[in-house]
Amino acid sequence: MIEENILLAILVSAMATYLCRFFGVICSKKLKLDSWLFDWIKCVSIGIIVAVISKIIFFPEGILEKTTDFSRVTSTILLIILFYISKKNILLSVTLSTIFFTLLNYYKIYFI
Amino acid sequence: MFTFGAFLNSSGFSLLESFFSTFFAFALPGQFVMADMLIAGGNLINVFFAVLLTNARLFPMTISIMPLIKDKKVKRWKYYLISHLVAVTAWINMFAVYKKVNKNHRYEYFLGLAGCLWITSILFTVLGFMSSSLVNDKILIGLVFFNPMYFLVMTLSNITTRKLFSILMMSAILGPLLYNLNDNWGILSAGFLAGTIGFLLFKDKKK
Repeated sequence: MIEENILLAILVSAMATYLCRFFGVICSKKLKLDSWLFDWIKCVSIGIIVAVISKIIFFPEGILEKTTDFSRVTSTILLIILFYISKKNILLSVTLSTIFFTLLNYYKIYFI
Repeated sequence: MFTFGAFLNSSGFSLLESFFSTFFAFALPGQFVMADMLIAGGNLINVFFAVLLTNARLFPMTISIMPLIKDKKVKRWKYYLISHLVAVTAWINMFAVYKKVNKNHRYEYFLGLAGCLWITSILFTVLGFMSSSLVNDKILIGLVFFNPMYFLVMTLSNITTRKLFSILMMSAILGPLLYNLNDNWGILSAGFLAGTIGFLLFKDKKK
């Protein structure tokens, strides 16, 4: 990689990222909290976030590609169970399921 | 961000470039895509459109967060500045607590919350860069997985109605399915479809 290219790529990606936010501010100008449009946009936003998470679990990229489907799926199921049985304790459920995931991959435990 | 910093070090970025990446282009998935494209030899136009598509979710997220923090005392240009801080963690947290925050202080609250997350992200990118050689690959994997797990649980804590639950289920299924069909538009389409169907199904119902 050429050094100059990296800086330009950072600049270009900063522009692409900010454009999404900039047009978001423009379009939000007349949006009211109790309008149907706000409700719909909120629904779509949650839908996109869940789709992103689901994609990471089933089709990970980067370093997570080295992990097994089994470890990712079982850790996610464990996370959901722990979250509800611990009365929605976020720190506890995320920490324990991440440790479980790390151990599964550390000792290469997989059944499928 | 810690793991992203470590990843940048192993990909040939400098410490300053890692810092700039999170400072100016704050949104982790887009940052990963930018680095991946550069490593794969992509040109600047490729990088621009890949990052634009990856971060397109920020558009509806910004639209929906702005009415929450709207305050007549705050000048318009400040919203263009604060929008730089809109990202998944801040968005989910703000939606989880905004009803408990006084309307007149929501702008400041979001500035504090998202600003802290941004600064912490920059610090941890740098820290990850500097300590990349100290962290075992297998431990790094666990740290990377912490992120989606945290996002998921934060989203679950926001699921308080049947409408949102139906969107969650549809999106969790449609996301990977549509991504498999088209990796550029799959995720956005899944979110759009699930959100719209859920919205229409429960349009006239309170829950």
